[in-house]
Amino acid sequence: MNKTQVEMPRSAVPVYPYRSGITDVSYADQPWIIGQYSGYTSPEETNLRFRKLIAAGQQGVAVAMDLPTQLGMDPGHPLAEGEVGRVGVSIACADDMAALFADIPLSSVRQISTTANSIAPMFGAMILAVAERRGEALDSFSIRLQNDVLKEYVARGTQIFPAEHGARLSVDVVEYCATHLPKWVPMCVSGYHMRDAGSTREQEVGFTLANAQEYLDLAVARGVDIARFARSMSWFMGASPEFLKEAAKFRACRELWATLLADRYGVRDPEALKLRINCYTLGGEMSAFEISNNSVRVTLAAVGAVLGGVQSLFCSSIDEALGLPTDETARLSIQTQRIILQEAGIAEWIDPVGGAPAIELATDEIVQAAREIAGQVGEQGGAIPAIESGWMRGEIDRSAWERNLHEREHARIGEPGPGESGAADISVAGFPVDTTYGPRRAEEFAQWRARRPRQQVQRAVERLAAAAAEPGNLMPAFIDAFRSDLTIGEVTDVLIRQFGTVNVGRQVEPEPARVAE
Amino acid sequence: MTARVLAAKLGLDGHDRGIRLIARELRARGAEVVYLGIGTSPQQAAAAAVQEDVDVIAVSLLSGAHLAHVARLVKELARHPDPPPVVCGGLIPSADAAELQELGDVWVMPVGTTVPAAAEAILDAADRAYGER
Repeated sequence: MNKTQVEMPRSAVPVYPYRSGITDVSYADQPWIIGQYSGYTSPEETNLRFRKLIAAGQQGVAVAMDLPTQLGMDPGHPLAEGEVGRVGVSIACADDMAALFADIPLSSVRQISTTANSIAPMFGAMILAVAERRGEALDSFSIRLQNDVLKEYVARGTQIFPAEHGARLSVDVVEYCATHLPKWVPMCVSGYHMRDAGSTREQEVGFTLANAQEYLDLAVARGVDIARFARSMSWFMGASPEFLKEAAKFRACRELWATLLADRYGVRDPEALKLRINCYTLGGEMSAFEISNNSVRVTLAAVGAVLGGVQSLFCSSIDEALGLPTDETARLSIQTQRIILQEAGIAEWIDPVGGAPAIELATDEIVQAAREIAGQVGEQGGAIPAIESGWMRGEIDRSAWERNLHEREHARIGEPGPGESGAADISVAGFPVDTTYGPRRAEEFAQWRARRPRQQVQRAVERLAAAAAEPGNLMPAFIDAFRSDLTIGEVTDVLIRQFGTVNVGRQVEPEPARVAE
Repeated sequence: MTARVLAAKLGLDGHDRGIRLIARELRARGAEVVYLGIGTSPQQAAAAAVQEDVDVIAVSLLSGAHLAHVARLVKELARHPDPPPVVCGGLIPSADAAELQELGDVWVMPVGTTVPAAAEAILDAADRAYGER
């Protein structure tokens, strides 16, 4: 029998603009990072979970924080009622951070990642204050911060300060890391949340490109070594079940990044030009009906990410539309990735779909469309004006509306068709968390606050307020604040008094009276 | 009649794709919608509802904090005569839905409700409230 042997390369030299990939070996030799995002209630409980994971050989941990923490509110803030410890851990001061990493040498964890955005500088400063207290070398560990505040204003929703000030704080982290913490990954520009808020695939890429450019411009203006910054930057993108188009998208992202850096900033360092992509399958693609069908949707999306050559992948749990995952559904999302890696036979090759006319055409189209969209942002004056005017959000809303109109006529498999009605069964899922934790935590935290020496706290507040009134990098002032046991709510309130806030529900006490010397 | 609707994301959850779509659908059907946005406190929602004299309040919660926030909203509203009904959407488990409905004139839309069905439920609640006044 005559068998035609097609030789596909397991290794290749990555070539600018890196459409085909950035690595010289396939996943079979260097698997993507299989990730999982999950939240636990208290610092102590999360610490136990981390220790188990590390003992089991896991090299990195992800810190999912609750919404009050992400919004810079202490437990006990009126708006935090019912939210403390709900979707992640509550971390409001250096002591909490110390409890989170109790008996875990920071240098023993390969990577600590977190979705801190508006509070990214505070999170970073808090962990530095803890490391310093414990006598750990500040350059001995690595933190990966999401720290992309711009997309919060149009999609994810944890913005605190007006966009201009939010972006300044994000870039403070970038600048500080470039000088002092070269091992840290100070920013991951995210399109995922815009896509899940209803943007098209092209907008996901185009707005990410525009936001990335805004940060790069701000960093360049401060004299940050752009190649060094770019080397540590990555993109966080979504994946839908349209796996060939998604594979094309990831290829387009790499080309857009490399050409932006080379053409606009004159970067020549190949390591900076190679875009690292983190991918999460899109939660918005999960149906609340017949949820086992979602396993197929997740698999298709994950295959698209693998064909597209991403560096890390997180899979949705099949019950994502209903609440937090159970142990069983969380396990399924990990096993899905392992099956794709070991059993699907697509991990041996680099860019296995590259060269197919449909894929190359789709890649070309996404590159072009994303450049046009980023160009439109430029016409608005850049990402910050496009956000502040509401234009970017309006564009995403329009796409979400068009998608919704389409879905009214084309129901997803397992969902009620046009004119039919139905309700999902959510008797089992939801938020199986301890409802007594929030009030208990608020009470204990209030007691801890009250025990601090009042003068020390007040002086620290004054020092921070003085720093916030100046144009310089605020990271040292944040480290000083958490060293002095200020809380995340106190630090955020100082900044709100200086910068203002975009949170409608946020009330800030007027500046406290000065303590007599 | 033109229904007047107050829409808000109560609490800290920032996922507002759903409520923005529903607000758009309501406007397309001729309703007047005041959308307070994300991060609204129950107190602010209640105050705005009274000030704007709305027929119904539509709130969306996906972070799991619905019991605390909706209870607070209903309590705030109860301080006023003829409080408008509250329609809740989001990730609300059925056991919690029953608990919410016991709070007062509260309606819960289950996960999976389409945008047109949600708009209809909100307008129906507004009609009933209008009829009772």
